[in-house]
This record gives sequence, structure tokens and C-alpha cells, in this order.
Amino acid sequence: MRLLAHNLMCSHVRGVKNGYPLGLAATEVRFLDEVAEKAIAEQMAEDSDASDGEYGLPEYNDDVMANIWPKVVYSVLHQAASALGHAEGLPPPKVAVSPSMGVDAATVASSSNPDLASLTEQERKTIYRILFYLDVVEGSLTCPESGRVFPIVKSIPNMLLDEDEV
Amino acid sequence: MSRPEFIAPPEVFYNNVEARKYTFNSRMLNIQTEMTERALELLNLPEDQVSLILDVGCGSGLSGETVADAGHIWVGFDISKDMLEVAQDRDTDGDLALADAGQGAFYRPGVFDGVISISAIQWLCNADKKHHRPERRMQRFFTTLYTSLKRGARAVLQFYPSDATQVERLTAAAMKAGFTGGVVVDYPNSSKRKKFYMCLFAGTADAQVPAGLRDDGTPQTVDAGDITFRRGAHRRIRSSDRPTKGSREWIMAKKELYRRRGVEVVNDSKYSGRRRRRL
Repeated sequence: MRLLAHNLMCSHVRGVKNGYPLGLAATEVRFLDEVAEKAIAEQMAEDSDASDGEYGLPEYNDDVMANIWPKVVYSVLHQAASALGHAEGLPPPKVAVSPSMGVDAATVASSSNPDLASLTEQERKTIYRILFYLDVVEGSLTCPESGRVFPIVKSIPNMLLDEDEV
Repeated sequence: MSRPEFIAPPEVFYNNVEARKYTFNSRMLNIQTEMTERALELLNLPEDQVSLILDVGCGSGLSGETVADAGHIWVGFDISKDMLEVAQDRDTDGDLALADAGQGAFYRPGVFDGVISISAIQWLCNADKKHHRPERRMQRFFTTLYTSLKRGARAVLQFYPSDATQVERLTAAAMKAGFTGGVVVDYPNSSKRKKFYMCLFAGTADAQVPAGLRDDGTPQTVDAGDITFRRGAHRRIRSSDRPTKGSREWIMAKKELYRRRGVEVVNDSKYSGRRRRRL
């Protein structure tokens, strides 16, 4: 599960009023661009004629970033990245989310995102990489209100609820 | 053709073997691509813009591939673990989750620019587990879908209804959740090519439902939106608003009703609904 998905998801357990953001914990993470690069290198070693265009992931694109930025809550992204230990290079958020405290709507609104134009290109690229390429392979998501844990196995979060939680 | 929904629940039916069969069958692939392209057309997304799309019942990511080819970013969920594993083996661009549509979508309000679903929501009409209540599951699905959509965005859900009542049940649930829109039927005269697309609008009162495609390839403009519904169109009139039985308005309404039904009714005049003079 990539951090973009984590940024969009909230808990849907019955009775939960504010299921956002989900607490993120991971035992195994990977960068998808590194995985792809490795695959390309292997392919190149096997077959020198192979072009890398076919396997490469899409490059950083300002348009994509501009379109996706209003959908992302940066404070939550920053917190998730720090929880995974990959927050270096990310600009600090305007408002910080603390996992122990209750989260109010203003903190988790994308309106509190830093202005894209005010960020350096390097910072934008780092945010893009964290959003799209940082993949949680094994770990868990925790509902902030009910404490329900959704396991992530082989990069797929299991969001199935039990009979009494619907 | 046999219907998978009559055989087993989706997470059981689409096992490892069936998931691979489904994904690597070129006929399935063509149909899926065609339907996804049509769904994207019906979504009517703003051009030259990267949109965020939710794929309900994304399966092995066949539909997602078409979405990604169109330059959009997608996330999806499916109830079949094996299907999702196939999706991962194929290196899909979207983000996947294992979830049941009948338990509702689990996304922040107003994030999606559009929702698509290819051949999935007919499963909602079934009660595959003892505790399943199809009507409640449908309602939960549509209400959570409504909240996760941006205002004015659309959801296009292609489905295979087994009979007319399923169309009715699903549209009723969507309407209850606040959606407007209707069902677009493509190629209604062909048993094989006939496809149902539920075209739903979130937060727009009177959007025109697109016309279905006909056998000669041209969209028919008359019968646009083959089954249309509007929110509140059939809302019951409160008893206090209804004319008193026997009053002039009541008689006029009745006469109008019978005229519409084609029954011969005497002409209206200033004497209509008046008492006879006492002799």
C-alpha cells in the first residue's frame, strides 16, 4: 500500500465518527522506483537490446502533482512518512498531527497544505516519491477511534470487517 | 451463459484458477477494455487533467489499466484475494485493498473525481452469508460512495442484472443515498452486446443522463437515459396538501387523471363540482 492510498483512507467501522487518519505501522517497506530500477538492470543484463522505457515508472510530473495536491493532506502524509522513518527531505507541515491527540478537522484539511509554488523542485520531487513510490509491504493500519487494526499483507490492506462491525 | 453470482460468493468463485482464467482470456480482456472505455466516456471527466478515480471491484486491474492509459490515477478494492494477487503480479498502477463493497467505501469525503465499477455491483443483490441483508448492504455502499465523491462528480457502474427487479433495487438504493441519474442501456436489442451502465451524479439536481448506444452505432437521442430517475420525483404528497375528497379541486384532479388514461370524461364547466340547486 502506497502512502497516497493511506492519505485517502479512513476507518469504516460501525459507530466511528472520525476515522481519519489511520495509524500506520510497518515492518517492511520498499521504494517502488528502486524495485523497478533493479528489474530493469536485471533485464538489461539478460538482454542487452531491451529498452528501459517499458519498465520504468512514470517520471515526476508537475501537472500530476498539481492535480493531486489538493486531494492530499500534507500533515498526515508527513506524519505517516515519519512513522516509516522516511521523512528526511520533506518540508515541515504547517500544522502537525500528533497520534495521541484527537484530530480536528482543520488539522486534516488539505487547505492547510503548504503552497506548491512555494516549495522547491527538490521538495516537490521528494513529496511525489513518498506519495507514489513508498510502499508498505507488511504492516498495519489502526483506526484512531475504535483501535481496530487492519493488517497489511503483501502490500494489500485487509479492510474486511466482521459481522458486528458493519 | 451461466451466472457466477448463482454459483458461489465472489471471494470463493474468483479463486486462484478462476482469477487467472478471467485475466488472461483475450475475449474477457476485450470486453473489459471496451466497457471501461465506455464507462470513462460516460464519466465525462474534465479534459487535460489528471483525475483520481475509484475502481469498485477492481479485480485483477484490467479496468484500472484502461484508466491508467487514459492518464488518470486510480485506487481500487475487491473482495477476491486471488484477483488482487493476480493484479499485483501484473504490476498494476493503482493501489489495491481487500474489501467488501457491501460494507461501504472507506475514503475521506469528497476526494474522488469519479467512480467506475465493471461487472461488480450485481453481487450486492445477493445474500451470500447468513447475516447479509442485501438492501442494507446496497444502501451502505451507495451512501458511502456518495460521500467519497466530489460534488458534481459522477459514478458509472456497469453491471449485469439478472432481472428487472435488480435494476430497480439498485437504482432505488442509489436514489435513497442522494444520487440522481439513471441507467444507460447500450445495444438493448442484442442479447450479447447489451450492457447496463448505472450513471449516477453526486450533488447535481438535473443533469442529463447520456443516451445509450444502439445497434447501428449511433446514440439514440429520443429515449435518452433509458431508465431515468430524479430525486424526490415520486415523493408522496403530504395528506394536508391533498385536496379534500369531494371538493372541486379533487374532482378536477380525478377528471384530469382519467383523461390522461384515455377514458371519456365530460367537459369542464363552471358547474363542475357544484352542488345541484335544491328543489
